[in-house]
Amino acid sequence: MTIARLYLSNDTSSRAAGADRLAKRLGEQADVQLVRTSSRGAFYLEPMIERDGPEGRLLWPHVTLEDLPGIIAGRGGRSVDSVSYLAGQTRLIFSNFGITEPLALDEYQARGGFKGLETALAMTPEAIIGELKLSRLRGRGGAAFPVWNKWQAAQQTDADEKYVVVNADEGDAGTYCDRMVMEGDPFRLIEGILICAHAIGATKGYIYCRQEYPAAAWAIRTAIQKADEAELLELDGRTFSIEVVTGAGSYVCGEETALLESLEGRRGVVRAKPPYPAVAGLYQKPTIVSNVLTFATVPNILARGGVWYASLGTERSSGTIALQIGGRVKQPGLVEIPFGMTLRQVLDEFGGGMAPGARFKAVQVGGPLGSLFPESKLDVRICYDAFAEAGAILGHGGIVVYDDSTDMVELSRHLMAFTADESCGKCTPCRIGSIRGREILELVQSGRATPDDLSLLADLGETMKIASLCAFGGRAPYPVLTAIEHFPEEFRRKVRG
Amino acid sequence: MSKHPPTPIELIESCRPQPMARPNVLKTLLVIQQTCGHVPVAAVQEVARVLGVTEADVAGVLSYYPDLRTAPPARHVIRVCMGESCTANHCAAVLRAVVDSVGQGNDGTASDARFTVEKVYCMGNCALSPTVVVGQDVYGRVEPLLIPSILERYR
Amino acid sequence: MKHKSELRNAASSPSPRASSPSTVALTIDGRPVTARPGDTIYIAAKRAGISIPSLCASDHLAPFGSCRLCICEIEGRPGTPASCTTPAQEGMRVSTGGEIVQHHRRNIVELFLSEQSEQGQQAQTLADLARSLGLRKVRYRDPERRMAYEDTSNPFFSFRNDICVSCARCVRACEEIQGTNALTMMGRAFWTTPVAGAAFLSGSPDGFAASNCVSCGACVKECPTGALTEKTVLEHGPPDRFVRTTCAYCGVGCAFDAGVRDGQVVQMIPADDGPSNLGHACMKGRFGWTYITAEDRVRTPLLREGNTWKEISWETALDRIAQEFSRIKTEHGPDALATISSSRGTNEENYLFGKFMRCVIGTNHIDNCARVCHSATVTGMMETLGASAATNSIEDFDHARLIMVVGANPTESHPVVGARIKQAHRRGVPLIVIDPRRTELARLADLHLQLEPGTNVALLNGMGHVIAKEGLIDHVFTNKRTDGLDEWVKTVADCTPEKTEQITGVPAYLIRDAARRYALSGSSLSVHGLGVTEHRWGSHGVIALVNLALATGNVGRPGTGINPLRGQNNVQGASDVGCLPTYFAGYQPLDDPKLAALHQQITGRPLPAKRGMKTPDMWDAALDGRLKALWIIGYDVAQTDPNLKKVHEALRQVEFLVVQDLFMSETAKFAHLVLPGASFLEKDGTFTNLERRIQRIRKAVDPPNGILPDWRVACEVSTRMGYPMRYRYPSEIMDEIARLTPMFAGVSYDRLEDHAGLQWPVLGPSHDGTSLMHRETFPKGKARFVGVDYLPPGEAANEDYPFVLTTGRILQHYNCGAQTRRTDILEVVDTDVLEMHPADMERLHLDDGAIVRLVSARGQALLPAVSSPRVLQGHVFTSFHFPASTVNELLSSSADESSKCPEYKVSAVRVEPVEREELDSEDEAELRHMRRRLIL
Ligand SMILES: Nc1nc2c(c(=O)[nH]1)N[C@H]1C(S)=C(S)[C@@H](COP(=O)(O)OP(=O)(O)OC[C@H]3O[C@@H](n4cnc5c(=O)[nH]c(N)nc54)[C@H](O)[C@@H]3O)O[C@H]1N2
Ligand SMILES: Nc1nc2c(c(=O)[nH]1)N[C@H]1C(S)=C(S)[C@@H](COP(=O)(O)OP(=O)(O)OC[C@H]3O[C@@H](n4cnc5c(=O)[nH]c(N)nc54)[C@H](O)[C@@H]3O)O[C@H]1N2
Ligand SMILES: Cc1cc2nc3c(=O)[nH]c(=O)nc-3n(C[C@H](O)[C@H](O)[C@H](O)COP(=O)(O)O)c2cc1C
Ligand code: SF4
Ligand code: SF4
Ligand code: SF4
Ligand code: SF4
Ligand code: SF4
Ligand code: FES
Ligand code: FES
Ligand SMILES: [Mo]
Repeated sequence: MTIARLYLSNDTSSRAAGADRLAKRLGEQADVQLVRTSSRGAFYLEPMIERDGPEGRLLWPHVTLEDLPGIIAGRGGRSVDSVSYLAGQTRLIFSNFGITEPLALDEYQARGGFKGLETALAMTPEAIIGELKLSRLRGRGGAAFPVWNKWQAAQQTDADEKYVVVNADEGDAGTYCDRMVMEGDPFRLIEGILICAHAIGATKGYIYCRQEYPAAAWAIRTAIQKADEAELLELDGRTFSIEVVTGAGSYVCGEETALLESLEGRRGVVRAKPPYPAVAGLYQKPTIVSNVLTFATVPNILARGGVWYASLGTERSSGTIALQIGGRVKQPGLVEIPFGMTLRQVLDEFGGGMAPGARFKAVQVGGPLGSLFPESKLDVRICYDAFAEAGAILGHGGIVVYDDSTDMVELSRHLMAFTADESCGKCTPCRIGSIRGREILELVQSGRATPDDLSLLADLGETMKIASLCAFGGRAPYPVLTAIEHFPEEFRRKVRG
Repeated sequence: MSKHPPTPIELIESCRPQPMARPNVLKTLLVIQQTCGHVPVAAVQEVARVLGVTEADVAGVLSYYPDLRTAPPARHVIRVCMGESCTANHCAAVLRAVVDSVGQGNDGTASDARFTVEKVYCMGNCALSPTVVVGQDVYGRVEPLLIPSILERYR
Repeated sequence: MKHKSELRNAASSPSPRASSPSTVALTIDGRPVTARPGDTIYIAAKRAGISIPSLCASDHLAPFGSCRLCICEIEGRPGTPASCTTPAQEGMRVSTGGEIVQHHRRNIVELFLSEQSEQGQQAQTLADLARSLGLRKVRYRDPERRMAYEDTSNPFFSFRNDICVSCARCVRACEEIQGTNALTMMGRAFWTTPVAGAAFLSGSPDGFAASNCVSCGACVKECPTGALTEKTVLEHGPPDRFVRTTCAYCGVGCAFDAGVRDGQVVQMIPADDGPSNLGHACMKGRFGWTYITAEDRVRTPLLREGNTWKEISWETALDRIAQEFSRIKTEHGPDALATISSSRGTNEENYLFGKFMRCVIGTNHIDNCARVCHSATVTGMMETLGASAATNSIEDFDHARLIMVVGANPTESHPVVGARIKQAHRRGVPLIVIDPRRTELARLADLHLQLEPGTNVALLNGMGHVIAKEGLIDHVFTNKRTDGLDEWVKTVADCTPEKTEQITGVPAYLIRDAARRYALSGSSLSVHGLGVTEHRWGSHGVIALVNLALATGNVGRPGTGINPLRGQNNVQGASDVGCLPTYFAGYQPLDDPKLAALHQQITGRPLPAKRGMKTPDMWDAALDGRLKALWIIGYDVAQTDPNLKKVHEALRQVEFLVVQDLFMSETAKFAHLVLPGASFLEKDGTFTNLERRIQRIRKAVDPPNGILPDWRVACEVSTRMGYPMRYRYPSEIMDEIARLTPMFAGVSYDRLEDHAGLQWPVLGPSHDGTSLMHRETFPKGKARFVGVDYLPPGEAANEDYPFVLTTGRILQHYNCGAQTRRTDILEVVDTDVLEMHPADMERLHLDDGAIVRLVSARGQALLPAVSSPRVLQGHVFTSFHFPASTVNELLSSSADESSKCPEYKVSAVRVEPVEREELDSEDEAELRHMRRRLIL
């Protein structure tokens, strides 16, 4: 009898979509060889099963137990390449997704893994940093700071200890690409860390992984172990140890200095800068804190050159961005594309329009601190500058679409309540301001607010923006103020006089 | 798990810093919580003693992090996501359904001691919003109507 | 004023005093401003007299940036950074009062006010800010407010949450200044607020009492709102005037502003420009001064009539003293009279009592309590360095690359120095502690050498062996500046670490490590205390320590030196001005003809050349009838000298005993005539602290019913005995000291008006004084190595007396306790306790707090035993602050040969359990409710 070799994603979301139930059944079939891969990120199709076809993979979407016999028999299935959602993307970080087994080191290497590190090890720190400078890579954690710049600062500060810290706190609601990388292609992250460690002369690495991601933490830990066994962690004559540390549920611990405090085991409260972490970070030693995606991008840059990377995307936003489309769209999922498309294009071409029966009202980009865009503002280009001009942020690439059933006052209250709950409590505008903002919005909701309360809210918002110690309080007013700006009547309707 | 689960004190002792090594309060508290399900207030003094820090240092950390609890949770912790993508997909209704089928109190430990219901901001499952997590099991595209049948599995 | 940022620079720059401070030029509000490197914009502005609104910034704390009131605008930079966290940079153009900035400041103050309690109960600071910013009303409608609760569990100050602004200055003060970490911010978001300890987790507001707080008061001082306030201020209201003075407890000599209201002291605030404390203080100085209004203070002279006391007038009392002293002098000669002067009194007072004995009585029978304290330091350092006082200054803790603490417990005995050492350690300066007990510093130290009591010489020689053997001797230094190196090298030649381990119990590897670190740090600073001096061979211990410093070139440079932590507020000064039987003022030899001539010329009387009796010799003299009259000022020998039975007997033998004290001390009970004393808050004068710094004390309030200060008493008695002393004011006494004493030549009250005081030697009116001694040469030209071999202590544990008893101090009480026992400090600690190793407690079946009887060959004492991680097995430790515990009955008269410094630190004792019913009711009462707090 012939053995059918089937591919099924083991990603947390795929399992949430029912992949495990399928896996259990398939495990019982003698005539099936099941491979648990990473996910392609086209979650709207999941659970989905693939198998090798004459040219390239074939896929079966929305698989139910009933569909299995047909799939095993090889009936039906459509070519993966025919899915425009996937064909339209440029996958650098996510090039292995849906294809390889996450923890299969040989597969990662077979597909070009660790080429970047090899190249880097043959280069001087200065040369590596030069290459990053050419690539014009900017940090993917939100602040979009030039990466080479940080590395240079850390490299040039001499100290007995230096650290590489991966920010895997992924706090923004609506984002999950960090999780996918750690679950789906952990060796890429490890390779990025090692290149950084070599460049700045780091002595230890940490991955600060949010507690909500147990599968990701397990996967990256296992991958580190395997890499160690394969002696891939040997760096400049010693084994570079990487420790995975889990957080304890504080959103602000994603902010780099709060993260470092938390990593030291203290209250996750924001530090005033300067000094910047690259100069005095963890235990006051030079420390590179960067996002998962930033590190995962580095191997490609070293393997294929900074000039190549800079050729993608736009002048000041080079390379690709990982967007995560969620909310009320037809095709929620992960999209990796070069910077430069408009928001509207992304929502249409990848989002596939609104979910059945839903009508578009607004979209929020960049997580809970991101601004809201109404229909009329969707032609903004996806790059750091255009968003900055629009008073908005790309943040971590989260895109959440709200439908017309959304109550904007309630949404604003919800977002302010989030700020009031998550504030680290250090600085006045955020510690007190956030709860005052929430209270005003509750007044509005209860119909007891006056126009004065709305102008007070605006005034308070300005103070939070301008005077907060960190971007949490500094960004918190944006979603609320943009909601008022774009949907004024909803607020006016509830306000007396 | 070959030998008996370590007692809290053994756990804390296992976190005793080497001479000159840096004590880590949060890490220690998380280890205790992982084994005991919570951090007993009584443990604070011991942690301080062993790590060579003060009780204030420990208490400050313990009171800062939302995940650290000083009281034991119910057998199953239900986390309902309130993140934006789930909000957009009407998680409010989901939360209501959960609270209804569990009992009063939609935060902290519910009257029904079998479940503790908590709100969370995003589980990274946004593409399948709304999300509900029971223990370690992640559920996506949750319909309020499905809640009873889901919780049934944990009764 | 010293700023945190500078402290950092000082610590990192190679040779701090040499480092030339380059400057930063910027413009603030259109004004050109020069800042120091490391200054923030906020500090730069402050230096230039531009004050930026702020709540969370403090000169004493690292930049934090939480209140956001200090935001400013910088030309060419986006946003509005906080000026308190932004470094001042060359060419910056800063604006601190722009319209935008003011607007948002107003909004921030509005936010603060919105969370404070409604009923007008708001922090004054906020009201003032609101006024100055033109904020009229709070626009928020029924906002959630701070919880209204208080923590009154600290005896000296209380906390109220409703007027706090959560700026965390208190928490940071406790960590950065005091290094105790008794406080933390609790919770998060809006509800973030400061708490003490962990009590809040169990729902109790009384955090302070349950925490490790040591009541230093730093948090209270930093608090900008009054959320933390002294109870005395809450009770009596804030002071309406301040008087700058100096603490009269320990030798650190912290400067204070005494806050006075309606002729009553209501607050003691440590002064920011206090050179030795930089604004910090400890429990005793800050809160332990209320004894001055104690009920049972001696208010009038008292004459003994049998077993009762008769109140007499000052006139009668002074006449009586003059008569008796004159009679005894004529009947038995000058050598039948002696005086023990007070190291607690002023320099002027001590000089006068010395002058009285020398000019009026005509003898050198005068001593002070330095005898029982650091006298061994005096002999040891004189012999080697030629000068007995601290070679360096307190500021040197900021320059040292390594700090070695030998036989001292600064975080309890000299808390402000202790805090300074902890600060240095937090900055990464290595710390070595040599002490048989695990003191707080020992716990924090990089190396703790936990030696057997009495084995200092062995240990220090062992370290010397390593230094000599491994070629770590600084020959450039020894060749140029010392004699006798070879003798020392011979002495330590066979003191191998292994042999040393045998004697001291300290592992050889630790001895090697310590020796290497001390020799190689670049600048190693040594401080030592009674753990070195109060031994059978105390001066040898000091010499062995000096040898190490000389061999490694750790003398005469910033951040190095041999620094005895002098004990009492003026024990340095009492000796300096000549209250010693062996030296005249300024340690001038009594037989120096030039001095004699000058003395004759200035005082009109000859200077007796014959050395006088040291305190212990006085007891012997009294016992065999040679000493007839004794005048004791401010020194409770009947409680604090060793071998009490003998001392008591001696006191009984004295024909006429005058005791002059604030209280009816144990010694006063033996007196024939008791004179009241005026406290430091009630008189003028000067104290000299442990870094040779002469500082003013100033009268803040009048003494109760016309008590004469000690210096006036000396004048009156002397005048009555035919030698008129007519000083109108203590400054005239100091002028006389200056004329007689080269090292004080440049000292005068005019110059002492400067808050920095003067550090002797001050060689002339234009000489600035000396912060660092022995820079180029030593008094005797070269310093001398003196080889000293280890000799065992006077007593060792044996089967009858199996425990080794060490005695010493605790933070909360002070020496005989006469003062601290009359303050609210009793709410923290109200008894001496016997600290015993848990294993020994178990072996003897003692549970915590059990009353035990300590028995030695001399006598016995009753104490509650407590289980303590601070002592080694087989050792016990106790303090001596409570008369009821009669600890000093246990001690022998064994003392250091040359200095007669008693062996307080080693006695063999037995520990016997005591049944409650065995106790007579008085002891029972004393020991019943035991309040205690070990500093771990
Ligand atoms: N709170 C408070 N402060 C005080 C005083 C007070 O009574 N209370 N008194 C003041 C006075 S008068 C003085 S002199 C100073 C004294 O201040 P310190 O010198 O600190 O006085 P002690 O605590 O008596 O002894 C210091 C240390 O010596 C240790 N020790 C004992 N034996 C040995 C030994 O053989 N070798 C070594 N290396 N160490 C040993 C003890 O364990 C103790 O920790 O304090 C002054 N400050
Ligand atoms: N067991 C044991 N015993 C010890 C020690 C030890 O380590 N162990 N340490 C020894 C040491 S180092 C010392 S210095 C001594 C200290 O012991 P003492 O000098 O006896 O004690 P103090 O408390 O310093 O002060 C003594 C008296 O001075 C009074 N006094 C304070 N100010 C004034 C003033 O301005 N005028 C007058 N007239 N009186 C004043 C106080 O009321 C108090 O009664 O104790 C010694 N005793
Ligand atoms: C409130 C707050 C939350 C943040 N959360 C995250 C996060 O979850 N993950 C992250 O990579 N960066 C986060 N950041 C940004 C980090 O502070 C930091 O800029 C980033 O990790 C740097 O990495 P990069 O160089 O890759 O951009 C957050 C910032 C703020 C102010
Ligand atoms: S803005 Fe909010 S999160 Fe950021 S430091 Fe201030 S209080 Fe903390
Ligand atoms: S008094 Fe001193 S020790 Fe106590 S809490 Fe305040 S700062 Fe800390
Ligand atoms: S008590 Fe005072 S110092 Fe402490 S946080 Fe409150 S206001 Fe600030
Ligand atoms: S350290 Fe000494 S001088 Fe300073 S306040 Fe305390 S007792 Fe007084
Ligand atoms: S510390 Fe003071 S009392 Fe003790 S010996 Fe030195 S000078 Fe005398
Ligand atoms: S928003 Fe609910 S899982 Fe991300
Ligand atoms: S004073 Fe600068 S932020 Fe508070
Ligand atoms: Mo002393």
